[in-house]
Amino acid sequence: MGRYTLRRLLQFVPVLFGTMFLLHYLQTLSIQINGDPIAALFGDRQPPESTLNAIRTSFGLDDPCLDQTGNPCLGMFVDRLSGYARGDFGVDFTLQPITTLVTEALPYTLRLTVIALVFESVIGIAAGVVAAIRKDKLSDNFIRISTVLLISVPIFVLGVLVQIASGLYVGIWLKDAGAPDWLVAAFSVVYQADYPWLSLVVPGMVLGSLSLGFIARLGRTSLIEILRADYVRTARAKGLPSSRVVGVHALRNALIPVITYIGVDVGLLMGGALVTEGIFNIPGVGGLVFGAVRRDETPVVIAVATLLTLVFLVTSLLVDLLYAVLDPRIRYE
Amino acid sequence: MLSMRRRRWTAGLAAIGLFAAACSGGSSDTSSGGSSDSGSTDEGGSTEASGGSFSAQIGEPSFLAPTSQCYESECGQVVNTLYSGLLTVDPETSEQVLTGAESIETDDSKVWTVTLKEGWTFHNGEPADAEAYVRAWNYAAYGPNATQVGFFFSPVEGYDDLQVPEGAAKGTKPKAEEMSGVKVVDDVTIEITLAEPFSQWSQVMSYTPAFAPIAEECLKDLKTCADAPIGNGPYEIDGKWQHNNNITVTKFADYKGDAGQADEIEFKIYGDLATAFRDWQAGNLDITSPDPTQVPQAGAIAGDRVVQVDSGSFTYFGFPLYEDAYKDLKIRQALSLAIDRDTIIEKVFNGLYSPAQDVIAPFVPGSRTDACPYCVYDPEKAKQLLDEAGGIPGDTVTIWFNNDGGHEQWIQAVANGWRNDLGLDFELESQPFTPYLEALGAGKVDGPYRLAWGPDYPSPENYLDPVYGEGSSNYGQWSGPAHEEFLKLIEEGDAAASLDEGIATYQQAADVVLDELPVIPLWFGQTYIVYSQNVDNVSYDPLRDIVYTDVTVN
Repeated sequence: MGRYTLRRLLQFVPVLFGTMFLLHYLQTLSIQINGDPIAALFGDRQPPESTLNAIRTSFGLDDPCLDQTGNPCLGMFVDRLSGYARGDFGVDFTLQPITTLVTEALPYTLRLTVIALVFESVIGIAAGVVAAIRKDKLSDNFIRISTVLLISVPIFVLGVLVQIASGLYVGIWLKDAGAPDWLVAAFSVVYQADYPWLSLVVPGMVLGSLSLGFIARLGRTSLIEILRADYVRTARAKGLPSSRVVGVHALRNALIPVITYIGVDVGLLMGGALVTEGIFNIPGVGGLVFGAVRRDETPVVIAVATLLTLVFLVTSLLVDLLYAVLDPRIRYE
Repeated sequence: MLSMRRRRWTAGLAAIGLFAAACSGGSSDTSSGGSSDSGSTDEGGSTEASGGSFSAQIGEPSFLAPTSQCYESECGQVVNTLYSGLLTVDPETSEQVLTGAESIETDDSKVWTVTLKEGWTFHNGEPADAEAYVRAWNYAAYGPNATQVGFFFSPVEGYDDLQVPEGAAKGTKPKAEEMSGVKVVDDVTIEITLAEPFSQWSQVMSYTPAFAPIAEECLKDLKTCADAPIGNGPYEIDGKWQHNNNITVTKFADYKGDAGQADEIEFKIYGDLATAFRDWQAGNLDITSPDPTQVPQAGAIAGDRVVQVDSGSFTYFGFPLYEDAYKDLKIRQALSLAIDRDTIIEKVFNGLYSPAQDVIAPFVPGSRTDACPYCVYDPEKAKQLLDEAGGIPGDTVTIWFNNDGGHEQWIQAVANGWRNDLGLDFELESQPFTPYLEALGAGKVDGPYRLAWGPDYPSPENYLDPVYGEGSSNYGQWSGPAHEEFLKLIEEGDAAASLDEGIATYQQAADVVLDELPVIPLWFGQTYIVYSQNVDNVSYDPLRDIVYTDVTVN
């Protein structure tokens, strides 16, 4: 297992370099084809060319290779990597260092992701188990219908609805009723810096709701299948209590597809939370990278996307290692 | 952030559509905590202290210091509380109100003498004297500093010597570091010599972010100053700028000018107007601008606690005059006459624009309400003119616009109008803003193109020269005798002996534009602000945004 892990870790290196180069090339192409992003910063009011040129120079966007469509601008890429080696990740268009931007945005996103993951796994797996055990009963039908609803309502609709319900109805009602501050903060319209966890609970639930639907359905299907397996019948025949048969023997195997899904979801939640972040005014990574892509802020895009790639790589490694824990038949040599 | 680099309403428009609204970038948090600490101090403040405190919504500003990096409304709002420039211009009376300046005088519109009020200081105690102003101006104008508003100084003598010459090798330094046209006469007197006479120069100087002084301590350590600006204005920053979160400013005790009304202002930073409005509904915010889609709802809730005034933005269709199809004046007149501005404004914009009757925005001195004979809706005459001109080849108009600004809906409305009234088919050609500007610059645009203009200073000149004249990109490539006459009139207006004398000449220049119609004037933007019971006396200036110093707390 140690050698397997090491081999996987070594594979990270080419993947990361490949990602950085690909992002660099795509951003370069975008500037070459679409024109450089500086003029668009000024909106409809165009300042004189000399101002634009001075700003281009200050952001290193005056390299002649940016005028040659298709040129990968290797010189710029090497400069960037050597900057990274020195710990210099560059600045965005408002001269904020990328390191500051990322370290400021990351805690929000991590907290949001943790809340969403806990919510979706705990409730999702529980619902999946209940539905599988009571297959075709009322509770199963209820879970199936409600999860389809969760999956089919777009997150920007759900987010705004929840925001209005929790912030404008429950929140105002609680405030008028003289509820303690922490409780009001939990039902606020937007994120509250004074309650860094509590005020993220509702947004985290919104963020995790889509995956919750998937996890519940995935868990249900997988468990139903395994409950029909021979070894489960053997376990029952041995006279093991039902809770042990389902909880230990069947569920552990049934969780493999669920864990795979959750693993991928960690990366998706971190980078893809921008809608939820936008609705609840949370200055996280999703909004950072969305804004950067829109403004062609190459240094931000590369830094954040590389970070997200790393998150994907690490979680997929963890998931693979977890397989061995869940299913004794899987061994890594 | 920089994407907000448009006046308030244009920024709001960009957020039209739920997806865009939900995603509008730099999503940000706020320590609003109306429920908790700051909320209770809000109310507590109004009873204990004389001035009280209130909160206002802004987007994440680009820069607070040096102010010469600030060229958008989000930072402008904060900068205007932290800094005092030389003067402001009252948007209603169009009169100059001197702030940092004691007097601004000129005999020939070329040499200007600015006398400062004595004894003013920065928040750190440094004197805000002539030296401090000139220091800031030279920093702004110096090319390699790459400031965003440095070009405001381009009329000043010696500005060119501070720029890196075009095509010079990398790392070339400009010839000079100080503008030869700016002289410190004594502690309170500055003499500015312009390269050419410019009657509107005093109006130009009303743009505070460009003309505010800078403290020596700030210039020495710009990094620290960027987050904790050292200003000379009625308010000083409390702690530092909490990025994506909030900026709190408190009254500066030693301010020599008209002090602000409230003791404290908290700017809460939101990434999305719709969210900010919901927070306002929940009682956590005092002053905000709702998202355009929320305006009817906001109006119903806020009652008379609404400010709806001219925002200064001017939306127009430019014509590619290098295309044969649009060379005939009658075609341009016909297209303009076949736009039902009033109906579009009412149906598409919830009444948040005013139809253009001039190319100069209503709040600017010299603007008229009846200057544009072809800005009315007259489908019969339009059809007649189009027929006289022999129609448009292929009977098809290609309309160009950028698709990241929420423009689709009204463009469709205009296009449908042209189809119904003139029998013209249309094609919509849209792309994101960056490639759109590239296409405009390269002359690839082959039909009417949407653009808008926001003012830098309250002068008719600012709606003319930067849009059609020498200072413009002139994407439509307007040229010929009429254009020359236009340029000549602008030059005459610039050379006028006084501000007011220039205005009549600029109006003539505007008439040339309205006769020739190199653009179709569409409408002027309005701003829409709602405020809570907690505050009063909320007013708006197209160039300073909300005048926070005047807001009183109940």
